Amino acid sequence: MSFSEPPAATDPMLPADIFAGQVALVTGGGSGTGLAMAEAFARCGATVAIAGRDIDRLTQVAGRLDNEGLSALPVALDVRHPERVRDAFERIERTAGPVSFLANNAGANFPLLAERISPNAWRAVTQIALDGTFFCSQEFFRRLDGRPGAIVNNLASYVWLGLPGDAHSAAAKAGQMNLTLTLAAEWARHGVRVNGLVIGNYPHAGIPGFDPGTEGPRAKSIPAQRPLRAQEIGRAAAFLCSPFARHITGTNLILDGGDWLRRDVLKPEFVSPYERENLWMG
Amino acid sequence: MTAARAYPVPDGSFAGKVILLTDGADPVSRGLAAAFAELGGDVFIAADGERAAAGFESVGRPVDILVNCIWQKTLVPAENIPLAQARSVMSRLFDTAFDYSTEFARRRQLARGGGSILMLTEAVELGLPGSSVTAAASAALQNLARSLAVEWAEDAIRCNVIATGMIEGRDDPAFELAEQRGIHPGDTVPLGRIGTVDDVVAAALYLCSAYGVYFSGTTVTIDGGENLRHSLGGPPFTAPRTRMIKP
Repeated sequence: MSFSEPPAATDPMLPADIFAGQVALVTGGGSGTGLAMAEAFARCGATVAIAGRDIDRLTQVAGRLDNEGLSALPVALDVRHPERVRDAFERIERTAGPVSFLANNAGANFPLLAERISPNAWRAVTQIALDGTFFCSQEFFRRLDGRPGAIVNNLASYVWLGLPGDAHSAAAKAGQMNLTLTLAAEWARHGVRVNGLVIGNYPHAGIPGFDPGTEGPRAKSIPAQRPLRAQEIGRAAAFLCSPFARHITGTNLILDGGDWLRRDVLKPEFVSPYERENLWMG
Repeated sequence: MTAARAYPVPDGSFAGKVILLTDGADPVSRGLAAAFAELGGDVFIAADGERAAAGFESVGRPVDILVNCIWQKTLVPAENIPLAQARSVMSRLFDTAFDYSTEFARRRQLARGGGSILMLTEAVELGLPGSSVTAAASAALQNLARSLAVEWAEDAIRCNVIATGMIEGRDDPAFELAEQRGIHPGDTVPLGRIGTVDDVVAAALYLCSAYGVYFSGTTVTIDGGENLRHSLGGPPFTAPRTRMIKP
């Protein structure tokens, strides 16, 4: 029996005006998990700045959100460059007002055995996830200037378990998870909360092997027997930033349908990553 | 709070649901019972010390949500805890939750209706010197929830945990210690306040509601950052046994 389906995205769970008058910045907000978060913030009344490298796509997505009566602002940004991060915050502040919530979602990921990861590939993945999260968080905090705020970092369970074929992203996200703890402690007395959202299997364009007509190749290997839905990701991010989570900081909220807990007293035979048809699915 | 609404989930979120709590005395248990009821649920509270089979029988209706919420925390050096007392604490905290959770699962498996289990524990990732048995029971429940989440996923029975630091209104020995030392408990927490019943209730409602249906095997820590007090300094180390409540 698979886990039941959640209420539709149009039902935000939280009060629809809970973030009214506030601005949320979602990096990597044009697609996938970032878009899921952006949409949830917007449905709770926030103006959401969706940042990414593909401004055409962001403009298109913002237009779609606007058509649904939601408030979205496309922002061109490569989070690897602190000066561009500063400029992006400046533009958002001028257009929509100061940012109260930051979702560090920008990431890049592709399956590669460690020995085949080029220096450029390694740097691209780790700099977007780890450096980008740090630069955005730092700029966010500086500009809060005493106002309360909340950060949610997009994480994955391989921060604890590693993942053969994903050395670059696993290491970068482990760094993001650890940064979550330190920033939470440093900024707690300023009323700024920092949490991680550990997201399970969410098939979307950009994931290797994605087929929009199916539940994805992994769905049946998850204890929940279905993949994660966009609105579930969005709600969790919004909850963590909401006043209902006011005492939650420095934590990692795992939303994965039990995916990372699949152990057995005796597992199937181990297939070396070098012999796998699909590197991430050993 | 900008929200007029008291809870993160909408009115009626638990309409038609039967919720069984293993405790009704702790302030958090009382808050949970009130919240579930206010959101449309039918709430039952197991009698203290009653075994699960009898507890479920006395509800008389299928239970959808089980909350293991017995709370107990003492401050005693481990060497001063007789084995019988340690067993009694473990039994009250762990055995009761195991008994109720397994009975719940057996019934839900027959009914094929899915269900949700929530365990309330202390945040004990780093141990808890002076409260070692309570901490061990909490750790046991957190680990149990991970196994049960996978064992019962096929039955769409979810199992999650909330791990808390100090909560206002509880009979937490930390409060008496704070008084003796002349400090405010909230001043020891990075966020500058201790947790409230409302903080726990909000997360519990989310986890147990239809909105939280993808959570299983998850522990939500609600401690205001109490576990993030790592530093390279701090007061000189003294044995925890010298820092107990003075008679």
